[in-house]
Amino acid sequence: MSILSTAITGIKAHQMALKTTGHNISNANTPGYSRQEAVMVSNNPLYRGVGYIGQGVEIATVRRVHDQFLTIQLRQDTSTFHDLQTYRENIEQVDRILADDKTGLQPQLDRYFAALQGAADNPAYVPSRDVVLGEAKGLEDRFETISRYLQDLNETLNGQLRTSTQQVNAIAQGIADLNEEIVTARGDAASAPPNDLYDKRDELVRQLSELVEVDVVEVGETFNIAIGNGQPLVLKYDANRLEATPSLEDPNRYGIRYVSKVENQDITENITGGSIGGRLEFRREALDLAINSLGRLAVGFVQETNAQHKLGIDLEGRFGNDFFRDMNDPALTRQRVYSYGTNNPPNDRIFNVFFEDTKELTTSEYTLNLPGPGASRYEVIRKTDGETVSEGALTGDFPQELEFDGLRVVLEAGTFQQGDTFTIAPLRFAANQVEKLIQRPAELALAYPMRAETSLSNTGSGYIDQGQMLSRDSKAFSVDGQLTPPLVIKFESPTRYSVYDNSDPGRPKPLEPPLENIPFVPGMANTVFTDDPGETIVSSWRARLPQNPDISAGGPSTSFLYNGINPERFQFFSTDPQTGNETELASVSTEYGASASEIADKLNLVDGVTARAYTEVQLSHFTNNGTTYDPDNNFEIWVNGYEITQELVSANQNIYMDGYPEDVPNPMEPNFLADRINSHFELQQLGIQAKSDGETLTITDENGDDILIEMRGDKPQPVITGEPPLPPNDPAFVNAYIDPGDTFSISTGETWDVTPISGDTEGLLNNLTGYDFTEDGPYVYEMYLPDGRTGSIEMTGRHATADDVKQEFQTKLNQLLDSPGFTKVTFSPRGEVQYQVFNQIQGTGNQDVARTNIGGQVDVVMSDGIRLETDPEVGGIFNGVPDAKSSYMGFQFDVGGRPEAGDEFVINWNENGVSDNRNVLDLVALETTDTINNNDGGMTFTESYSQTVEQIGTLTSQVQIRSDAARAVLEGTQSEINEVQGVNLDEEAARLIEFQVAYNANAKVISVAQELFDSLLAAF
Amino acid sequence: MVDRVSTYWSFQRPVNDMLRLQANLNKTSEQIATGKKMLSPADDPVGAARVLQLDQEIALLDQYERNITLLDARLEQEEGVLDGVTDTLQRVRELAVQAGNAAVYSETERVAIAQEIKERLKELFDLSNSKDGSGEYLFSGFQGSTQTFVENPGGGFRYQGDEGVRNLQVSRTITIASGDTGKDIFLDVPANVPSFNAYANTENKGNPPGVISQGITVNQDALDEFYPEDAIITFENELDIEPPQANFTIRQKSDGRVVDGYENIPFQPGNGITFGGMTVSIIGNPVPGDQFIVETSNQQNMMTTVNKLVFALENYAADAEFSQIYDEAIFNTLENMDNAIENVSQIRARIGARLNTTENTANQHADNKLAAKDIRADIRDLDYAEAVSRLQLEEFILQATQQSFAKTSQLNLFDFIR
Repeated sequence: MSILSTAITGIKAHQMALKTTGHNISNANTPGYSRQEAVMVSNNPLYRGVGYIGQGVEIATVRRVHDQFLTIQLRQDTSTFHDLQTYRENIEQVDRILADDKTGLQPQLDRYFAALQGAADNPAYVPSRDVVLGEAKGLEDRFETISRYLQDLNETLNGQLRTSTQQVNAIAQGIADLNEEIVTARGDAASAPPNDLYDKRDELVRQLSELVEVDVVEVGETFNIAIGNGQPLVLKYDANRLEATPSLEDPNRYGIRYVSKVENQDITENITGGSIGGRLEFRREALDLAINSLGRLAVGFVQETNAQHKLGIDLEGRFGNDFFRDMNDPALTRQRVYSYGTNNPPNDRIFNVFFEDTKELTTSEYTLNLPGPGASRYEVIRKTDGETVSEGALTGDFPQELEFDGLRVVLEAGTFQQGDTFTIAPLRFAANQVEKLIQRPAELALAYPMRAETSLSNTGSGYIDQGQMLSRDSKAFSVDGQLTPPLVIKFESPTRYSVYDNSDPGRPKPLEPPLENIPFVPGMANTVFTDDPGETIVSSWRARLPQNPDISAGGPSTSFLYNGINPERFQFFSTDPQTGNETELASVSTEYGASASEIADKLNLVDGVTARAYTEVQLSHFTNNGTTYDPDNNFEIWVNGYEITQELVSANQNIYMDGYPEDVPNPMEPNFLADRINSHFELQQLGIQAKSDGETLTITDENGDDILIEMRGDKPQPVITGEPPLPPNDPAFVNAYIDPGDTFSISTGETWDVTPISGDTEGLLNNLTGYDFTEDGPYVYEMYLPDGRTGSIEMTGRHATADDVKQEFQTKLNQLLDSPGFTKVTFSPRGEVQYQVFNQIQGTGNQDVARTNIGGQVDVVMSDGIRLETDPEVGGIFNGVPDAKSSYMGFQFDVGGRPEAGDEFVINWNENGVSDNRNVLDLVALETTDTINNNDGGMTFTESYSQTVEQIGTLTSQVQIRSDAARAVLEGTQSEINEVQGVNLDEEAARLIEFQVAYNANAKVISVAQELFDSLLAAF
Repeated sequence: MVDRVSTYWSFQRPVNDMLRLQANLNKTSEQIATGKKMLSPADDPVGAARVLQLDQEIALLDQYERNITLLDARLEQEEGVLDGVTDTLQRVRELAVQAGNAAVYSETERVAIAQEIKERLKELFDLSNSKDGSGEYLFSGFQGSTQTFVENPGGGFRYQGDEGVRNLQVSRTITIASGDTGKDIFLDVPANVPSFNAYANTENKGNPPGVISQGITVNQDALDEFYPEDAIITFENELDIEPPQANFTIRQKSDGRVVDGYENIPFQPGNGITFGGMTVSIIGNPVPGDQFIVETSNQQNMMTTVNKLVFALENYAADAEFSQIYDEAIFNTLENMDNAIENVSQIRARIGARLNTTENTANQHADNKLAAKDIRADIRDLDYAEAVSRLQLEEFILQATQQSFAKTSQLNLFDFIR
């Protein structure tokens, strides 16, 4: 080898080196470019006797200065950073809109409630009502704006996902192409590395990492790229595709599908990292939370407001309508379930989702699965925590209702099959569906429908408040514009009251069911009426009158005296509100002759059951003048063992209170007896009271103990002048018939209407003149009988006097009775007919006593879900399955102070109550009441909203910190990789000089060689 | 420390740094511009939630303060009316005292006194029907558009309102009545002796409907004895008596006992029906089943009291034979006037108490609002001193970075290779 050729290798090598340096300089700013250097090696020397002579230099290869570890690190850091950065960019928008004064909900909520307060200040003033409507509309707009913004964000995400997947596909194709180019360029392992292609491919992979996290596996010279759960995106020279399409479980959200020649599957769940991962994560963690929290607030607000608004009445006295559109509107309930795209056809399943209890709602969505076998079972899983909230059998009968977390999901129809899956997203569009319905200011229901008044003639200091409205779902409000019926609370004594139907204020009627004889605690607020919507009352019959009075010779018997009450077995059943299963709650048996108070005491031991007992007996038709005997004996009556007809001579008697009637009248009359009983110390202690309307004496025992009435013939023998009448068949009881003239009738006080079915007497039945039933007939009447049957009679006679008319009624009614006793008929001023059943008690002679013992009646109050059955079917005071009637009024009143007997409070429809603000105060109170998420302690509207703001804020803050950190890490890696791979122009400039100098030197060597040659030639 | 830096990075890094510094600077200046240190909830999520709640708290307190202002205005208006009522009552009382000195005054003077009392009664009637600023009757309870008192066709005054009182919320837990009802003020005045009210059952079917007069007490002793019993006058079947005609029965309300001698009494429209010391009359055409209710009461409408005084002055004063009734009437009037004045002053005391409460509550609200605003400011508002000095520091760093960039970017080997 000559010196010349050695120099030429130097020239060539440095030319190459200069080119490489130039390449470096020109790519100083090329992304992903790694600087290159020409690696020079000296050529193998030749041996020349003296030793090895160098043969110059050659470029072994052009080396890429590259750090594999840093490249991989960079990909990961890029992926992480873009993930967080995208998440951050999106969530920051949500974060801002929620708390901004102009877009956030809170300022408008404040304004709405302030407007309501304004209306509470002046409910009849239309402008203040207008403001409420305006601010309600504003609230609707706010809900819509935020909701629309969040929906738009979702749409934007869908679009971005599509664009991103297209970018992924383009890049993947580029990588596949480069794989091929590199393999081609490389040829075989011995050839030189295509450095720039490597760089290009690395850069593409880095770009891919911006979009999504990938796994890179180097196989020989090719990169295989896997995505998601290991699906190959790039396999050697082939690229597969990603597609963004409406997702499986929810058509409104795009998912990511992996598409290859053999596969097409949803990999949304498996995608992480990069901007795609960031978007999906944002949607899953933050967007759904924001949408559903806002939706829950909207549902809670609308349903609570509506419920309260509908309790009130508007300026025109009508019940309020929905203030906002009902969230359970049929048009809305259908849109809350999405059928998975993978479900078996036909796609014909119909669902309705209702909000049952807005306080129980969560912000989660749910998955409904049919795990099989067949369509026999279902399970509902709460997405946020994976908890199974409901599972059970699919009956196949429609509609089937599933209840959980305050929702009621109704499967209406369709072909449900094993493997079917559904997404239940009840809150998704709720905020968007807030819509104010009330248009006219007058329609705002700001008043309560009822009010209370104190009678002007009350003597006590009792007072009544204006009540609390609970529900309109009661029979009291069955007719708009009036209370059905109006009520009067009447105090029978300072410690007992009853509530009557006051539709005719002069003639209060018992309610159905009766609310009578209720204990009252004077001096404190007593709540009248129940707050339990399911409470029912069963009211027993009154005890039947005993067959005949017990007559005991020679003085009062101390033996047990039957009170008309038979043994009875009470079975209470209670229904579980969750499952609907009925179980026996308790079984109670009462004995033969038990008093009503004893029965009540036993029933009171049952949970959820309250029994009240009271006894009433009526005495009437006192006669003391039918006797022909002389001297006439005294008419002597004892009540519960106390005589009330004695002549008292001592001024110091201690039997009666002052002012008692001293003179015993003859003939006997009920006013006297009533006054005697009411001033009798012992009887008052027992809770026994009497009243008389001049004909009938009514004795009541407020405790429900038996009332024992005794009539004693207390006449010394012999006194009879004339012939004593003998008993028809039994001479032994001669004493019993000594004075047959003294009698009175006894009755339980129950009065039954005799209702005309055909024939119209036009109100002409009266207490004086007769009536002709032969004309314009037939006159048919129907009535309840004491044993619970219904009877019917036809009137046919032509009567001259009222007594004859009554006689016909009574005769025909007597025939219908299945027990001893007789009926008495009365006519009201308007000619209506009632009857009552009586037994007669006759006076007896000497020490003999005619006794009768009267049992009471029991009202059984049962809480929601409790039912009563009794045995036997007939003969008891309840008889079989008694008719339980709701006692729920839908409102409550507090009565306090110390009312006196006879005091009254009246409850009426709030006629013309335009200045009443009670309902608007209740609407205002919603602002500060816990109405949302009561499972976690409850939140007000504001607390709920601020919780959302806090949650989103926290997520934002976290992602900000994390993305800042990721940026720092990424920059660190970038810095490092640049330190290794990047081009430093100063360095290259130095190299340039260096190589130029070397090049020049080599040229000099050639020149030296030439000179040598020249000098050699010149030598010749 | 690495010993080489790529040219690209030596330009990129200062750029990154400057971008970051500018972002910080921007944030600080936005904070200064808005005065808030929290620009978005993410800056302090817990604080942001707390601020929203404080906002609501402050809005509520503002509202309560507005309510209190309105409430005060209403109560002061009522107070004004009641002041007028008291003045009128005082004047009537003076006149009653004058009228009591029967010997001193001549017939014409008494007529003059009666005349003035009538004027005062009109005044009282007007006051009882006062309206508020938006035209609602002050004392009609829930029925603001219904006139509070009207004159009965049968004489006397009838209260048409109810017992409803509008409460305003002055704090989370306190609601205060924004007024009182006509019943409280004018009607529920303890009477020296029992009196009575009469009215028709709303379910009456007569046409034209029977109307019962307010009635007068003709025998106070009998009424005292009858009290506290009430009575119901029921029209019975016309065929119940011979010859058939409209007839009625009076029964005690509590137990249905017939009032002695009043069973099936033939009805003569307009004729006085006297029982228990009371006389009422019924006109119109009641049908069987119609009812009229006469309730005794230990309370008497103050306007009825004045009315009775006028009646006594006009009917009993001149005649010596009535002098005892007259004296009694004057005596009862004076007692009842005292009760009425006492009742009004009690209500005024109640108003005073309410005003006191509102004042205390308002003060409390002011304190609470201040505290809430303080807390909100602590959480949300910017510490300007700190922010401005931070701004200066950030400016300084940015400038320094820019300067150093300018310096380093000029260093280039190529400049020296010629």
